Amino acid sequence: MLIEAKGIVKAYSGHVALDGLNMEVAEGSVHGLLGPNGAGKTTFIRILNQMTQQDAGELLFDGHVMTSADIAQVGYLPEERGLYKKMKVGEEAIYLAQLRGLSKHDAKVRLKYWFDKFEIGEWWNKKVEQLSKGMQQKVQFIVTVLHEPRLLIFDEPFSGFDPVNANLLKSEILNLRDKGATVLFSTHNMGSVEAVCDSISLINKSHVVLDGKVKDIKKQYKDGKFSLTFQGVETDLQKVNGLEILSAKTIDGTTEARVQTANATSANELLRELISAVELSEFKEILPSMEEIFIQQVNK
Amino acid sequence: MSKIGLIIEREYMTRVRKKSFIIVSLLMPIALLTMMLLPTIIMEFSSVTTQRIAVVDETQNYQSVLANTEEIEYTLISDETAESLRNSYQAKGFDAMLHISGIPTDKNNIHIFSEKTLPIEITSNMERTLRDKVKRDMINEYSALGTGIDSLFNAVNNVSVKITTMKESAEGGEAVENHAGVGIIVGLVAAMLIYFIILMSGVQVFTGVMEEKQNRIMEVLASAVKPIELMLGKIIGIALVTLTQIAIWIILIGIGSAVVGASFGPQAAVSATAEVAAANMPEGNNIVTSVLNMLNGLNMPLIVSMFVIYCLFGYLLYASLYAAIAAGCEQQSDAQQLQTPIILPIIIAIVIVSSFGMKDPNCGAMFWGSMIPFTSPIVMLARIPNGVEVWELVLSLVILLGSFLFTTWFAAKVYRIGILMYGKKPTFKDLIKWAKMK
Repeated sequence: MLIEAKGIVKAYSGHVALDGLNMEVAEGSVHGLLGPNGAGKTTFIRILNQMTQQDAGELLFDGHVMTSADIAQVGYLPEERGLYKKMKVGEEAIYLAQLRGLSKHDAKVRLKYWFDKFEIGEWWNKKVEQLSKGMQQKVQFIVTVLHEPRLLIFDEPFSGFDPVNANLLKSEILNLRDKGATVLFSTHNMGSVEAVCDSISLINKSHVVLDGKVKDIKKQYKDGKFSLTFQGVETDLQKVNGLEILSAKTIDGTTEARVQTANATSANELLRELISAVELSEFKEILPSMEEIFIQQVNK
Repeated sequence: MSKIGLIIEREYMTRVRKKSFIIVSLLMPIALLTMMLLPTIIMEFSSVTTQRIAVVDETQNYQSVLANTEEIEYTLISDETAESLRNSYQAKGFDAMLHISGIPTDKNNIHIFSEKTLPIEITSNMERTLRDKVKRDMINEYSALGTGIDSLFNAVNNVSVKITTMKESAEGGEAVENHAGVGIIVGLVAAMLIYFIILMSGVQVFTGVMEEKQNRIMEVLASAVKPIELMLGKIIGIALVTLTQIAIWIILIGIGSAVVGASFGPQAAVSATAEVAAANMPEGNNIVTSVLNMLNGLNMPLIVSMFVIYCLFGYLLYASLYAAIAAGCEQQSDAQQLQTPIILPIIIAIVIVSSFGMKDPNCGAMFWGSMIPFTSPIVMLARIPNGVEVWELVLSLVILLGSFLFTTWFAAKVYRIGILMYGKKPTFKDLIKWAKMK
């Protein structure tokens, strides 16, 4: 485990932001930090960055108690992010890289690589205010990952990106993970969670209410919904016992339907019954989306 | 390079390269030179009105050195007492009466009675002449004194003559004491300059911190650097910018006054600096010499060193508070209410200086003003050229230093929390709350 948080408590005057939070993030994984606004995500991220201190609890980084010395191994892209508008892009990128502990020379070499990769090399000598918002975001992303930290923290990284650049970013994040970096990824965007995260922690009202591998969670929350396509009409399905038809549409003798099984029928059992009843051409279990699980958990 | 060094470097370089920095660096010396030289230049070109001055010298020792010049015509009166002449000198056609009742280094022994305040050149000319006479007397009496040459040297160096002008009120009533002297002018200029510098650089810290909030770069920085490094880096960087600016001003004023001196004086300045130029020229021969001669009676090393010290600590005191307030604010409008208590003492200081400092630099308001840390950098500088006790200076500096340490400590605590706060306009209660947070 790269990060182990045990019983983290943080209270601001009048309200408790984190109340005994436990979390584990495995090295080399992308871990989603989910939760509604005000759940305590940003507070936890700031504690991880040593920007604030927890009131109680233990935070381990690679097995030892995390201190400000570990900050050099962390890259953080905050939700509230920006750049000095009046500085030149290259100068500013070098400055921020130096603050992260890189030498001027290393910073230049690595920036050259990333600027070429993101196709913003020609903007090196332009002022930041001349850049589009998307390009500024690219610069911010580059500066976050430039010092090759072991832990990357992204807070709402996709806000402000168009779909093309969001995809670029997504693939870069996975790329960095494949190279060994651990990514903590805070977002509201559930679509990106399913696409990127290996595991998640869902925080609500200062507590972790759900955590684990995305696959496991989705299995855990499956509720017996299936989608199927077969030759025949809707009424053919009535031969199968205990099957509730949620929706069905028949075109040219082919029916597409969404069904709900009554009790914990496994996919195999259902399939067996279906095969004897209809001419099946497609069969798929519908797992709940992270969004549904999220809403269900938060409203509990 | 350490991180705070990087921050200082960035703060410094981005500001020094700005156009506004270059403009202010050039304009200020021009304005100051004009202010300093304008009266003299006007006098140079306007017809000289000769001041007729009656001299009553009870000691009989000093009247002989008072030589007539273009501007001053002395008349020695020996057949009348000062008391009776005081009521009649105007009727007899004199503009003013100079009364010497003892050694002029004691300010109780030397007074000018006049309805109008005499031009500063005239009083300072008198002061200089009398001072030189006292010095000569000392050197003459050297053998009789039997002291060492060092103590003589020190004694001569410390001679200072200050004439008290007794201004007759229009109704002919009681005389009003009025020290209009070079010291006051220098004090005022120094106080105004400190006021200007503190306000200007304080506001730079303020807008600099707020810019980081507005740009949303604050959290990016705060995750890489400790907040205290961020705050001190900015404060020190801007202090260096201000020092650079002052250095440019001094150099430009030096060159400027040498150039002006050369174009007005008959013997064009051979040497580059004003001081050397002045030394090479006969007294009163050009503007620079007259200005330098006026400053001659003042303890310039003390004034300059105190100027730098008060300027620095005054700035640090205010800059940290400015940083603390700006840290919690995203917009200028959020900060207005919070800014008032910072600007208020600076304004009060300048009001004290301009309303009391002219009349009596050592009155109660000036004394307390020079002790309270939020006004002392400005008020004390207005007092120093007129002479302050050592204990006053030490006490004032100790208070200022202590307060600076306290405000920086306080500001750092507020700043650390404030930079992470978004969306809410902070109040004083919030600032106090932040300071108390762990």
